[in-house]
Amino acid sequence: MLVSIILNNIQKTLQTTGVYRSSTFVMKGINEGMKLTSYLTFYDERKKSLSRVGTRNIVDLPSDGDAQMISPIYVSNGVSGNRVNPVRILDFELSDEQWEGVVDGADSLYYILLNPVHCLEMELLCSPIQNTGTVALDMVGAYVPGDVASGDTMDFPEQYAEVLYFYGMFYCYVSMPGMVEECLEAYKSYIRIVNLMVEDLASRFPSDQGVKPVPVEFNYDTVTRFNMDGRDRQKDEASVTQGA
Amino acid sequence: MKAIDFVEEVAELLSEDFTYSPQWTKAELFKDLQVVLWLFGELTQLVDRCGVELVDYLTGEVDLPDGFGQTYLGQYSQEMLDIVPLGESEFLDEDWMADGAGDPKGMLVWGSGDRSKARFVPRPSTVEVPAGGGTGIASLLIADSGANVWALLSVSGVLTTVSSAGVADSIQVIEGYGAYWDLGITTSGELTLTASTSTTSSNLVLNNSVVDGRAWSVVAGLEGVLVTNLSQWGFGLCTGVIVTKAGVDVYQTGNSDYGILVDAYATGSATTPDHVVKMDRDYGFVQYCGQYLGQGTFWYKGLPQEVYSTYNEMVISAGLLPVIKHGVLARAFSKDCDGQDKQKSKLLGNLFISECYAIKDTFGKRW
Repeated sequence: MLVSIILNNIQKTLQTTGVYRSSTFVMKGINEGMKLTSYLTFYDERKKSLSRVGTRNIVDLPSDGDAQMISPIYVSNGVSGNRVNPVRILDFELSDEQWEGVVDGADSLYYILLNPVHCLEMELLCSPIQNTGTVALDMVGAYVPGDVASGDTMDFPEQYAEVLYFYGMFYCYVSMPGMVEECLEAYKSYIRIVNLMVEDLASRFPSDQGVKPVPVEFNYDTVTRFNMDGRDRQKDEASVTQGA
Repeated sequence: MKAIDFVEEVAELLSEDFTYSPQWTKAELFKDLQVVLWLFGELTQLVDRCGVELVDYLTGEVDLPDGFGQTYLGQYSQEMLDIVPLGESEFLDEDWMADGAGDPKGMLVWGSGDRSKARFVPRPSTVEVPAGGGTGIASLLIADSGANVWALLSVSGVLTTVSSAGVADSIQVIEGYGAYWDLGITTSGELTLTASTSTTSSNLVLNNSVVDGRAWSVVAGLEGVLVTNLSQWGFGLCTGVIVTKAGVDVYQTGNSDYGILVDAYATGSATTPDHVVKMDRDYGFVQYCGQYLGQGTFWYKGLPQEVYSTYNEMVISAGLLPVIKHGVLARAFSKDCDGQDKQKSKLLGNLFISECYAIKDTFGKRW
């Protein structure tokens, strides 16, 4: 699907084609939605390999063009093909209580993902350190894609394309004065599809180990909002009474 | 993304162009961004840091690193230790308060923020202090335009100038982001960086003002801001390393540790590296573990790299920037001004928290 279809749909719904919110502005919303969705659902999976010269137990994650890996989903040793299993850092002790710096054989057995906050800080910590001249790992990982332009074909599961429409709508409504109700509805629709994606894609994650996306529990419903409004009104009334 | 670009994207959503009677200023939005980054770090628990410190063998205590949130793993000389609540410390060593010595069996953590301390119980009976380190100079003498001489010192990594006597050293050329700067000083003792004609840096390394083996390499960050990188007796611990030529001292004869140098490499060969480690990435979570007795290692939850100026790079994944943006917008919409929108503020605040929790749950299996 062309990205321009989503762009046009948003602009038609808002009836602001080229008037209030430019295509550039709406495209920012679509790109932002795509990146946030990738982080929340791990939909953008790619297979990459990496090799690093020397025995080392911390390696950075491979990028793919301008797309950055946010989490490995399946890791195996490039040499043996054996799986490197995700564990908690505390479980490294089970391998060797002095696991740090332990060089042992050809295969790392366990890994943990550190610092998944930015590709430049993200690392894979493996134990034991592979006793090979080159650390080679093959992995399937979740990525945050780069920007797309309106003329591009979307690298996104088409059945979920609506998710970008709703995020784009939400993005535009945020920028318009008032429009809280519309913001809320657009975001709720967005999150509903995000959670559907999380559920649908769950079977991709091997043996329920390691990092796996969870649904976003968005609780801002109309009842909550009504109660909050009520509290605000009471506060305002109280302050008026006190002032009088 | 640079903080200024992020602030301008937020401003675009607020329809704020900062030109005439702005309802929001860049400074306000930048401050909101700083606060939201802290909140984000706390709510998501995404940021892992590793700190390596020498343990004071008289007390068994260690100051925990800046930005410390909570420890989730402690090691003494590479061996994992349990982190024990204070109330259970006597199971480790009932006279620990009286400084009982032995082989550390567990670790206590107390205090908060930058005043946090860890204590290994029982305190180690001996501590091997590795030789080496301290490869820097005690101070650098710099002359100002009035020929007054100032001494540049590193006080726990903070650059300090004091009036001094003696003959000024040659001008130091500081490198950062491919640019070269001459280090100078004003007549009031403020350090200055001016673009240099040299293309060779001086590799300025200052020892701590109180000799304790710590040394800092002095480099320039973006916009010519001076930055110090810690190196310490064979285990350098750097996050946010910004230049490829920043020297991090590694214990010169500790070559056996080469194999666990991570994300950095020693120049020379694997068997005979020299003492300079060069980082192979601009930013990084860099851990170097020396194999010495007396070394405490802490894996802890910290904060995202702070932004100190609008020109700082935000070290946040593009997939997480929308979450930060929702948090900043929530704060901006709550500001008491014509653009105030309490409803939108509440809505965006809720989204921010919901998204942070989802991310925390997603990555929570790591520890």
